[in-house]
Amino acid sequence: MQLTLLLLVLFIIPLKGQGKKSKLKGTRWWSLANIGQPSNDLHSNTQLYNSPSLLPLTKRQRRLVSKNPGTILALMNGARMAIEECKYQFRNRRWNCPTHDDSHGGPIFGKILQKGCRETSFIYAITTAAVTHSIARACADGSILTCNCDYSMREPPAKADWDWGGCSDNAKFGHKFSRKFVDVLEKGKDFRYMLNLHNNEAGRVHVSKVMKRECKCHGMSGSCTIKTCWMRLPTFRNVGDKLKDRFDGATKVVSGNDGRRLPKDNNGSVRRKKKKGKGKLRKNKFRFEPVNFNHKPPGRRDLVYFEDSPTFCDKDTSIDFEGTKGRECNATSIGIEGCDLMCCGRGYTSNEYTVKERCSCIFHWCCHVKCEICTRKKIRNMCN
Amino acid sequence: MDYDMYDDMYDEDMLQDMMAQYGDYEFDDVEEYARIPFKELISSCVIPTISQASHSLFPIYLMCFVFKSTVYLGGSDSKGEPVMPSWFPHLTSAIFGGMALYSIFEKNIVYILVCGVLGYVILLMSYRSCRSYSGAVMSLFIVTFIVLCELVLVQRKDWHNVRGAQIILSMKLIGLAFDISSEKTDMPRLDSYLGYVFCVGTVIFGPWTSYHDYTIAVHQNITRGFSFAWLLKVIRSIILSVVCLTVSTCLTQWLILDSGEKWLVAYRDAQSFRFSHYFICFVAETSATLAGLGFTEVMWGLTVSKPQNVELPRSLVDVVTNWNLPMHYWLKNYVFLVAQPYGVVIAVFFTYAASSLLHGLNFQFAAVLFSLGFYTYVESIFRGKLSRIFNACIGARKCKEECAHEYKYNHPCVILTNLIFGALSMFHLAYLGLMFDNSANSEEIVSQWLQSKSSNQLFTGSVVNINNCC
Repeated sequence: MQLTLLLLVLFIIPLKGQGKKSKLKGTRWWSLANIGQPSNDLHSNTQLYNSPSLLPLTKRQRRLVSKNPGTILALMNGARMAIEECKYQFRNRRWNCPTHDDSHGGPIFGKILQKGCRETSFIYAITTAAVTHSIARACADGSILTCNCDYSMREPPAKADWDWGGCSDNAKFGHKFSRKFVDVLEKGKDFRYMLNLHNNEAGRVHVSKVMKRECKCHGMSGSCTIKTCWMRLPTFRNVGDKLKDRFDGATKVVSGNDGRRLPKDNNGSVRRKKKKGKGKLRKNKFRFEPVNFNHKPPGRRDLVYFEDSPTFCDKDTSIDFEGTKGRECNATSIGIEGCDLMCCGRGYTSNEYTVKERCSCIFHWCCHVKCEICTRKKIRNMCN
Repeated sequence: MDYDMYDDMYDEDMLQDMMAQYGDYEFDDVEEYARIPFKELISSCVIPTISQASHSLFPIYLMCFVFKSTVYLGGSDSKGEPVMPSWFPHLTSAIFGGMALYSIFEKNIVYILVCGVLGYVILLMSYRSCRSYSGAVMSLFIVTFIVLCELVLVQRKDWHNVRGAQIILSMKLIGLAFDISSEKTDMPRLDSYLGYVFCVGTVIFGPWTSYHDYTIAVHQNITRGFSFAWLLKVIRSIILSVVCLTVSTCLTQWLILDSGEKWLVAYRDAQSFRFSHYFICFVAETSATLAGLGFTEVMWGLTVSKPQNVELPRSLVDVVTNWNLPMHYWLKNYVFLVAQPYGVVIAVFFTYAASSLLHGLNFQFAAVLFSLGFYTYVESIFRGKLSRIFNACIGARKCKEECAHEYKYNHPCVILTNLIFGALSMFHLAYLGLMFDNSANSEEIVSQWLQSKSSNQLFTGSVVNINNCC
């Protein structure tokens, strides 16, 4: 009996794996957000840290994580940041970045990832940006052993930049790590793969180009006896805002050629050489072309998509979206958060509720504030 | 298992190819940094900078401490008689000093060593041939050495690195030579000379100490151990240096964002520079105290800089004085007083010329230092006249307690006038700090400063000053 079960399982798993789920298997790391809930429970975190096999990662990701101790906490933090930011940026839109907390390793953003719409590109970009940001920050404060401020490798001052006593380049590390970690997931060398790669990179660039290593010299009267450096990072809200702008201006694209990558005709070293010689465009290069010929071709920071978004009005199980029923809306606004658009013309119900608030606060010397409690009536509108 | 099937098929080249087609992406918009949460500032800025600074400074502090304890432990027997040979403390000081120099400057240590050794040769020669001119001879040598290094011998970046130590060394040599020529001190032996010039407590960050103070300190180190007051002074200096470092690198930029008002940003950058200077001053205090310098009869009272008097100045004269007290003392004694017989204006000119020469032959240094000289001169004359006319304590320097003025420091009008002059000085601070723009690449600064800062702010600064004058 047990044996048959085992056999069954053995058969079923690969079958399932070749199905739709395998396409999104790489995104499983997003559920890291649910594992390391923000807690000071060092014990559970240490456990995870010690046994990467428990994590929802691919083998290659696990290898990467165990090679760079300390990254796992940053990754968890990054996943959480991404979800939080996505929800914040889309709080007023019909699609409000719903997440599903099923811990079975399913994609946390739901099946919308199987689409190729704007929202999908945003998810890819924001998650990658969050990893880059969080890893770079962890680098800067020294919690990743492989990239913290490395004093032993003092570069000679003759080099282009004074580097003694400085840190290794955290921005680069974050960028590279996220490339290795995130892009690894995308498999199948098709159009969608390239699309996701592009959006990942767009998210990354939004972080890493804004990160700066700032250095300051200290010494008698402005000389440079010792130098201290630190990473200047944009806040993640900044990154989210920028990506949201890119979302609004995202380009719908088609493949410029047949969408397949080149056969491996060159060995790596030759390729690398070609990369350095800038401007040498190779033939049959993969490229995105805008559907609308009046639009300019997408740049490195632009988001791209190939499928129009659904209206997001009604419940749609194919994208795991509940619809806008029951969503709160603004009756006076004519924007997307206004009830007209949000409820897709179905109308809304208003109900009154009372809130207790602190009011007429007075500061007493010194030092406390006394407030009264007032009750106010407020109106809440919900879509039908 | 099945999830990992394709893992190794990933090829970064593909991404590279895709990215290459976008060409070199130029960023069109200037990135603006929003204010990051304070907690993030701590982890991304405060902690890394403090750890980097302590990483470079700890070895120096350790050497200073070891020097002091070695000299004390090997110093005297139970009767208080010195047991070690007289050269021992000096050579210990010099050897630790050399090690400290190497830990900071590595190969650039050569310039300091060469200057120090040549200095002794010059000193010896001038002492033998014409003692009364050894001060002038030494000054000439130092000037030549600095000019040669600056213009011919040394790479700009290397020079930028060692210049701080070079300033201290030059001050020590010139000071010593003038003391010898005026017969205040005798010609030192080679061991005590090396011990003084490469004294571990002062060789890198200063402060300047006279040879006389150094010999006293060595003697005290032998006889006097460690006291609670000493420890307190060390801890105080360390804490203050950390605070100043934090303010300089992290806090100023965090409080006033780049997008702020233009003059506010200028003031912020200047303030950041000033706090970097206080940081160095407190580091100097720490190292000197650890090495046992600066003990007066009553207390451990070595003070290099008084930040409170610079940040909230009474006048620019006040700023210049309290900027670096040992240096002020040095300039006053070995330049101003030496040149005073030729007239006050000339003496002031020489003082600022010497100061700017020490700081390196840099146009922006010279320009700002000379304008500072001009300002302070004008200010002290102008306020001196005002104080005589109104018979009030509104001079550039604080009145003494029993001054003859009718209106003392507590009269409302006097307070108001002094506040206004203080505010004017603060305005000048913003302008003056710009010369020491604290970004790491000094070459850019020169051109930038010449183009933008001088045109806007030098002009405004001068206009204010001319108004002041008339």
